Amino acid sequence: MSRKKKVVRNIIILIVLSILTFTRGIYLTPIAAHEASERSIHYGPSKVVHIEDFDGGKYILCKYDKWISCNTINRTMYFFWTFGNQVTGIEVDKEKPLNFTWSHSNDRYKIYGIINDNNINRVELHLEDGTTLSQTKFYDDNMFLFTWEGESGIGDVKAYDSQGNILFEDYR
Amino acid sequence: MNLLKSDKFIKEVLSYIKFPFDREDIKKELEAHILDKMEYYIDDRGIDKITAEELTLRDMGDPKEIGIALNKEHNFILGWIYKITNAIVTIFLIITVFTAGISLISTIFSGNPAKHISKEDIVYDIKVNEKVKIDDRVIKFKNVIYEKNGDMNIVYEYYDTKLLGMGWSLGHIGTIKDNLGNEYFEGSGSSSGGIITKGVETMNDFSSEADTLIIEYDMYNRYYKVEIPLKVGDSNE
Repeated sequence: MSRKKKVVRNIIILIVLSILTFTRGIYLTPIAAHEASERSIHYGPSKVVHIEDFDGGKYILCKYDKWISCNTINRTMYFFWTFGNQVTGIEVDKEKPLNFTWSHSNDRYKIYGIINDNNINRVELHLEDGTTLSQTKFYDDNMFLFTWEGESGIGDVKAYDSQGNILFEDYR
Repeated sequence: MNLLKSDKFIKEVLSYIKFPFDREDIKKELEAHILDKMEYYIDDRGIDKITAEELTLRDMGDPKEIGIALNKEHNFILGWIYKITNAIVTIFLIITVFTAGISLISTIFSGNPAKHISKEDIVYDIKVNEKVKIDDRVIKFKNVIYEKNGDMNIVYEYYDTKLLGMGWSLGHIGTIKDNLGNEYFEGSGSSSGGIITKGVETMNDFSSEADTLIIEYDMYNRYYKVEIPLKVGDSNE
């Protein structure tokens, strides 16, 4: 077999193996991994509101119908992407001024939520070690996301209006 | 080869070959060719070794021309494409064999998920063969096995039409109810891995008076409902 034919043979094998590989949990882009992850767990397709990087992957903040979620997608084999965790999220309760949930994995924390009370213009997260994280510019659909790494857990979450009045607080 | 002129000739030819991985093959080919030719001069024509070598190299031609021609034939770019695609094919084959192998082994050795139920404890075992599909997952309800202690076992299997068993496992087959309005807590369950996952869900204290078992899945805008007729009573048929 000539070298040209061998190259053609290799390319055909690569196409077939790529199809097998990339339909088996490894993806070329984080969004492809995220979409497959949602479909596999029977959730979504959700609207991607915000994407945030972390060392080794991405957080994908989403809204789907009456639910919000923040999927984790992990980088694998340097160039590829695979399922992470926490694909599905929480149902939005519009009766509450703010809905949020949190999770942590390998010292990486994320807390995300949605603001239902339009008077809220600042969300503050107080960590156990005294650190305060604050968000005033929210993503689409009034969603927010805090992420951090370390051992310090969540202290409390507070939301304020423009006058500094507390409209929501939750102690963990 | 221990023939100085021939070695020099080959070395010069090889200096024109840009693709390094082909040099050894070309060297061997040239050596064989030179030796064949020399053998002809020595054995058939009775010429001494030194003269035979000179005549052979004269017949071979200009090493520069040969080198340039061979370099064209052993294309540098095509050579590297071949080498690189070979390496990628090997990596992909290892990944595919590894992942597919794990799934296949899990499927083959998963066995019957309800094998822990002894025959003496069974009140009835109904073959179901109900099939539902959510997204890319096909779920087949295979049997419902009612035990003397009131345990109702739902035996099922599922597979993913797209991901060949590499997606999320099915966390919840649905809410289990009966025609009397009772709702049951999924007491315990187990499932195997693999391309086809086999599982069993067991509900405790299932009513012996119920004549229909209802499995209803209603999550994140996905819905299915399966109604399975049961044999009423406690008799073992």
